[in-house]
Formats: sequence, structure tokens, C-alpha cells
Amino acid sequence: MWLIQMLAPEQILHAAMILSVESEDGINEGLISQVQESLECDAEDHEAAMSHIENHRDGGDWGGRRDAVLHRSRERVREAMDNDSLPSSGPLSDELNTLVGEQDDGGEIDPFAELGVASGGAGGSFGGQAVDSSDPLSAFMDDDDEEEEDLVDGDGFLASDSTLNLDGEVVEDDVAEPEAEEQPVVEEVEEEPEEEPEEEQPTTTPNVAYEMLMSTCWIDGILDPAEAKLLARKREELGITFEQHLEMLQSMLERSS
Amino acid sequence: MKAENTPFWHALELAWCSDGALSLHSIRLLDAMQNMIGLSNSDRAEIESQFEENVVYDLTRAGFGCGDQALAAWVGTLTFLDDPASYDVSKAMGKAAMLAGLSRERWLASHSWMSQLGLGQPYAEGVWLEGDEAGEIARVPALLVPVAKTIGLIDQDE
Repeated sequence: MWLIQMLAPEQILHAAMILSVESEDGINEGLISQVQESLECDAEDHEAAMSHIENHRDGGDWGGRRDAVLHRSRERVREAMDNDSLPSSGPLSDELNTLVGEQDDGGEIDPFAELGVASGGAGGSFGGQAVDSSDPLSAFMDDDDEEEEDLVDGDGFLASDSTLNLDGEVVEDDVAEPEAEEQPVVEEVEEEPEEEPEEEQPTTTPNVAYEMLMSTCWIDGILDPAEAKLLARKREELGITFEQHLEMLQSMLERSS
Repeated sequence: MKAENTPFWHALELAWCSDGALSLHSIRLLDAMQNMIGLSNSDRAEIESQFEENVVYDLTRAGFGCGDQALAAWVGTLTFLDDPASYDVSKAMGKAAMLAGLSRERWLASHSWMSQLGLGQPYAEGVWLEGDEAGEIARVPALLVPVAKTIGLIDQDE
């Protein structure tokens, strides 16, 4: 899932505070002050974000969604640094990079992993699961994304029980709201996955995934060595011959011309 | 394969474009080249007809086909195809093209060009880093200078 909206300063501050709170040494108020100042957020924003964290942190478990929460927070801080909402160089940048890197989720992004395809030959394994060669498509069913969809949307931080509105403002939870009123909503949400037919699951074969990756080669207009190396490695891992590569390349270029 | 991205098109340019005329000597050289690269009659006909439409009709004759000199020199370089090193050189050139930054258009043009010489496979292997590591290209063979210009390995003015 890609972030396509510009983040509000309050959302960025909130993300940085989550990462800081969850870091080994706990929250670094000095760092957060610098972030707050850099984003031109006021004390009220800080207080609201901290209140949200305290209400939802759940002792660091975040209601069982810790990984997703931290992942999204890292994404937001990185995006803020990319679009210069936060400095991308200098001492603050270094500290933020440390903060983001400290809880990094894997370093280099493997597009094939993102597509749910892992190495292991033509019939290989996908998404970390061994695949029955008779049903290779099942390998691409990736419920992680769905889980994260439930958790996070493009607007707020925690979509299902978010306390951040579209503007990044923290909205106070109605703690006193009776559970009975929420129950039907929960039931509806839980019923949906059972009703979804299996046919609607994502279906991607290694060749299709490879072709999708190949199509990104010239997204910037130029083929570069890193892209060529990645594709060469993936051909070997997926058992795609060079002849198949050239055929796929040719048909891809013909389609796009 | 686009007609204008082929060595035979380049040969036609050499033959015609110096003075807007085609000599009998050039015709014989073109025949020789067709045989050397194994170009079918139908493919040659297609390239020549497109060349006439796009280039020849706009030329103004100013001589008697003096382009045959340059064409003869270039056709002579086709002996490179018999060189055992041609495979490795083509592969190295593919790698050099990729390292220099290869656009989709340049890939299509250069691969088409190399393919007509029977060197498309090693060139592609070099570009896409397939198989053994390609070596460095020390000097571009005269036969491949036109395509080296296309992919930016050599300045167009050189």
C-alpha cells in the first residue's frame, strides 16, 4: 500500500512519538521537541498525540497490531523526510534515521516479497509458504495486506478505531460509549471474510509477477544496473529462462508502444 | 524489427546519402552484404521500400553515387562477424550500454540492429546481465560504431 496523500504535521508528530515511545530507551522528549518545532506543531498537538498513544498503546501491544502500527509510523516518518516536512539531513535527520532504523523491518524492499513471491524455483515457495505445485496461485494469497487495510487507511492512523481525523487532529475517544452499540459493527466486519469467495483472492503467477517487476525497469526512462541485477537474480530464483525474459520483454514493449 | 534500426538501412544511407545517387558498385556491395548477414529477400525488400519512401524521395541528386566508397569500407568490416571474439565483444557492449543508461527506445533500436547481424543474443545477455560476467569493451569495432552511437557509447560527432 502506498501513501499518496501529504501527511498532516500532527500525523507525522504522532508517528514520531509512537516510534520514540516504542524505542528501547523510551520516549526521547528532546527529539520529539525538535520534531514538534520542525513541524510547527503546538503543545496541544503534542498533548493530543500523547493522549492517543496512552489510550491505545496497550502496554506496547497496540491491541495485537504492534507490527502494523510501527510499520506505518516508520513509513510516515520516512515520507515526511522525503517530502521535506522533516529535515532529510543534519542532526535531527540522523536521530530520526536512527529511530526509524532501530525498528526497521527488513532494509531493502524486495518487490517480489511485496508481490508475495519468494525465491525457490518455478514451483518454489511464495510469501514464505511452501507451495503445492498443483496450486501455485494459492501462494499469492496474502492476508497481511487485508489485515493492514483493516488497521490503517490512507487518511487516519488507525482506521478501525482511529482517533485521528482527516486533518490529523486527535479526536477524543468516547470511552463511556456502551459496548452494545459497537457490537453489531464488529459482527459485520467479522462476517465479511467468511463470505468472500476464494476466487477473489489475488492471483499472480511468477511470470506475471516478474513481468510486473520488469515493467518498472523503465519507469524512470532508463534501465540501471541495480534493476538489471535484480531481474537477473529473480530469473534464476524463479526458474525463468533468458529466452522467456526476452519474450516477455518484447510483448511488454509491444503492448506499451 | 524496425527497418531504420538495422545495419542494412545504415548501408543504404551510406550508399545513397553522400550525393543522392546509387552506383552500380553500391548495388553489388548491398548484395554482398545481404548474403553475409543472411538477410532474406523479403526483409531486404521491406527495408529498401521503406528507405525509398522515407529517404530517397527527398534526396536531390548531386553526383554519381560516390557513397560506394564509404559503403565498401563499412561492408569490409563485416568480417568482424567471423571473429571468435564477436560474441564477447557484443556482450561487453550490451553491458556498457546498460551501465551508460539505456532507455527503452535505445534498447529496441540497438537490439534490433544487433539482431540483424546475428549478435542480438550476446548483446541482450550483456544488457540484462545474463550468464557469465561480461568483460569491459576496450574498443568498439568499426562494424558496431553506428549502433554504439545510437546507444550513446560514442559521440554522434566522432
